Amino acid sequence: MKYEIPAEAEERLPAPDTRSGLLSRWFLQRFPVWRTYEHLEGKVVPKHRHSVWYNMGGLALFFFIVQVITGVLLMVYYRPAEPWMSVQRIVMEVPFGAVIRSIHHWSANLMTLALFIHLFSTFFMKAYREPREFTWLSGALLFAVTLVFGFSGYLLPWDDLAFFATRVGIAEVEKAPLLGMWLADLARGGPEVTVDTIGRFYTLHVMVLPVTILTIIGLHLFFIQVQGVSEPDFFAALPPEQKKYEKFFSEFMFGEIPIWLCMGALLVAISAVWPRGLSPEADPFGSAPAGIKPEWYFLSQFQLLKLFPGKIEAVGMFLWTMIPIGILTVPFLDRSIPADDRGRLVTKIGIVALLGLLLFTVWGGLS
Amino acid sequence: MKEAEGTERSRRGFLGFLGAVGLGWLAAAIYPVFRYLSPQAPPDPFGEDGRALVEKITSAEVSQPGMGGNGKYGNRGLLIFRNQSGTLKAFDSKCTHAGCNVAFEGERIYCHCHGGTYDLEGRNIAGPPPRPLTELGVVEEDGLLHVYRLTGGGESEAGS
Amino acid sequence: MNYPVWDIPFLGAGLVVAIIAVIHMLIAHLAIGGGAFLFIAEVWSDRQSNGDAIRAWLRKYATWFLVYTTVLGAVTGVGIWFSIQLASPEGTSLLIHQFVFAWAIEWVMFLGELTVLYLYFYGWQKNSRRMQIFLAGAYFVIAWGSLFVINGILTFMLTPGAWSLESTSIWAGFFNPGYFPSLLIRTLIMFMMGGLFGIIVATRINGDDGFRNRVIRFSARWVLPAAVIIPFLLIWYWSTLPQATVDLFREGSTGVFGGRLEALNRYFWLAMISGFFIVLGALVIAIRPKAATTAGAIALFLIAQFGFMGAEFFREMARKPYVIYNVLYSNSLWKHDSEDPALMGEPFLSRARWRPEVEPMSMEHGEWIFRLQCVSCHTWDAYRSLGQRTEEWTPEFGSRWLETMHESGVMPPFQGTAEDRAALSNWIVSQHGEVVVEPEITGTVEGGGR
Repeated sequence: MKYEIPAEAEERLPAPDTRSGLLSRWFLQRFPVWRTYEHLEGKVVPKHRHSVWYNMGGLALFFFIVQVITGVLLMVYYRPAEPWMSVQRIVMEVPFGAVIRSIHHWSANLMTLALFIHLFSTFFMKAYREPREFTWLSGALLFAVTLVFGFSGYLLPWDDLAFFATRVGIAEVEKAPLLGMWLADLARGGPEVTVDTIGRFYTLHVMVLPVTILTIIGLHLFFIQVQGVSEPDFFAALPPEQKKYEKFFSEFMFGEIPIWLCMGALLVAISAVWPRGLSPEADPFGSAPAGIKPEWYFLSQFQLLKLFPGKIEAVGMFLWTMIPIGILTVPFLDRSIPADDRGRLVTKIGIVALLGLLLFTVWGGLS
Repeated sequence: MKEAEGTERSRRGFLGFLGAVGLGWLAAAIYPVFRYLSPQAPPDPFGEDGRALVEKITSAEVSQPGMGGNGKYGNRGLLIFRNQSGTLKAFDSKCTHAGCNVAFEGERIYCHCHGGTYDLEGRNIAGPPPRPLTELGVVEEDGLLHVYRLTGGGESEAGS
Repeated sequence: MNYPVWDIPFLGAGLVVAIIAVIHMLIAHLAIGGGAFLFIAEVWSDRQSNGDAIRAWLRKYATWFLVYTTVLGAVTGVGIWFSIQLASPEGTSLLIHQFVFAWAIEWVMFLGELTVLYLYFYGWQKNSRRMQIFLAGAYFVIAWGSLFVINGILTFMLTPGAWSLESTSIWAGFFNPGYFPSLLIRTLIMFMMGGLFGIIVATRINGDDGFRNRVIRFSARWVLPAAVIIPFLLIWYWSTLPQATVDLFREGSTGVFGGRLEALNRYFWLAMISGFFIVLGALVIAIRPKAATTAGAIALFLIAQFGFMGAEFFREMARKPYVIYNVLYSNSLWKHDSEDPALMGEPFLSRARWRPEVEPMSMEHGEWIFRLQCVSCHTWDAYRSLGQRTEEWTPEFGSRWLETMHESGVMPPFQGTAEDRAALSNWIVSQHGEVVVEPEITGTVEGGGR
């Protein structure tokens, strides 16, 4: 038995004797989603001078899509049993393998960067306040998963840079109280980084994390579709006739396409100018290569921990841990709309945290 | 009104044309992905001297008439045996029907997948195979077996 | 090697020229295509009922156009002169001497272009309609004339054709094999740029959505000729390329050179993919002009910048290792000199006009050779990093490699004695932090008396 088409839909659908009229009726008789359609159709994005930040989440999604495509392509030739040899083959023998690998590398970096910007722009526009606490928390989780993605993917080529960076990175995990040692051993598959670690990281990188991140992205987008885009205080305070909106479907989305394309061109351009190299195969018993450093998104933490050597290292760990704790608790600490004194204090703390991150990252990069 | 319709039609035509052009450019843009996924030509099993070493079967295993078995040359399977007149014979072991590796059964060459049968000259005599097996030339040197590609009938004599 | 060397850390001289030139190219193409756009839009506005509204928009177009092309265009144009004479004095000199007349015409065209553009822009209210249309048309013709001239010189560098140092036939050099395909491709790209710029300005139109959409669609149409015809012109252009370049391109797709996809390939595909993105973006904007934002339109324009970078880098790299194909190497070594064994075997530094006083086989000796022979293309640790390329070197290997490096087809021959080679190789290896003990070549140098 087919579903009935609601009367309000009947009024708005194209005439039944046209192709589009027939097709839309055919669809609605099988999937009664008219209400959902109306809801999505009514979804709007505020237009104001800070609207450009609304594109950042979409950009991160774009880079994620690029990651999926290039990642699948790389998996075709990557073999965890002989990691370095297979990556070497991708770079040296497979046509366009070097460029696809470079795009995967750069897109990962740009995705992390876009998420950083997305996180801070939603933070400063105070989009985490109720009713959007869980959108915020799911976003924070996405960010964390992305960092684990980056960390696990970094090891897979099994060159000396990857090997030692992973060794050092997991050594940081060891220092965490209580579960640290156990977690580190679990990640490495033993007390040392070996080919067993590759198996674990590979499974994580191509199976566990993708499923996880797709689920959370789905939730995150679902929340946004249901709740709509948050309006920053200055916009919400405007009289209704001065508020301008743009329909999410399809104006906002179509407007995003050229920007996505531009980022795609940027990716290809960066990969053309700076292709990702491959260092010599990891030698677990050789000396670490000179100038070894974590990826830029771990640099601030790396630099902060360097400031607190030896016994006071715990202080550095504690300071750094404040950032994720702050991110997780802020929707419950700062709830007033419009922002009150506490809200303004949170903004100031955010600015200090952002400046601190930038400072430590640049400092770490230069030193 | 009429003018508006005309504009609408020309607009559709224009968009369609642009779309077709876009598809052409798309083809150019994804060509690298196409090349990336296209398999590379398999390495030629025959070396610079036109010969390939036979592995996984030794000359001792084909020393007497009626002895034979499967081996490999390069990346391919091979069937090698000594026939009743004492001549070494070698065939690419890939059955011409569905690609299973055939077996040497003394009197005949037999494929276990679908019952394809060849005689000891590699001719398909029963079952589904459409063509004879590809014969290879064999030389024995210092206890090692080598095969080479046969180009014509005449060379096959010289090889064995 | 007639001049002291312009040392740019991180980028290298060549990349500085390239960056300035790529920006300049983008602007120059817009400056010409925009002229055609102004002319056609003027004519179009006369046929439309709301011609005044169109012209009001066109006025905005002209304002941004004028600012963008005359200021940035002129600054980068002069910047090219400053940078190329430092990067390749010999090449610059040859181009100036061979094409004196062309440069003169180019200069006159440039002045004419500016004059007509100012007349057009500042006479907006005063001039008659016919005058405005005439000025817009004249601007385009003159501006295109400057392309007509400069294109001869640009294509000459890659495909000198029948021109040679002996015959120095200007016409053969000017209308060289690559001239016409290049001219047509550039002209079509110009139309595209004019249109893309039109979309940006059109997204700023407030109020009348129907009008805004029409102008956006009108501008998006300008992408079409380039999208349809350029693939065919590329085939023509391809057929004029030197065989060595084509071979390099073919083999480069598997990354056999240096373990990476050859740069020639990477830049070619950058241009192709950007082209696809522009066509796709223009299609999206033509379908949904309502959704076209200024940011999106600028994004589309930026894609063109990336595509340009790819195409121009491709053209430049296709010449490798020459600055003028088969005539002058990128490090200012003349091809005919390179065929003279006596000259090539002389101690290198004795030929350098700015002769540094160095101890033979000292580190300074090697460093000076690096400065004079390598840095016109390579930097130590960044762009085309020599450091990365020589990580595995030993002094002996380097010395041997330098002797035959030109056989790869992408490097010029080494100039100098075995001692020079050893000095350079030692210096390079020492830069990797390895201690080079006693240089081994001393004493067994042929012609080593300095």
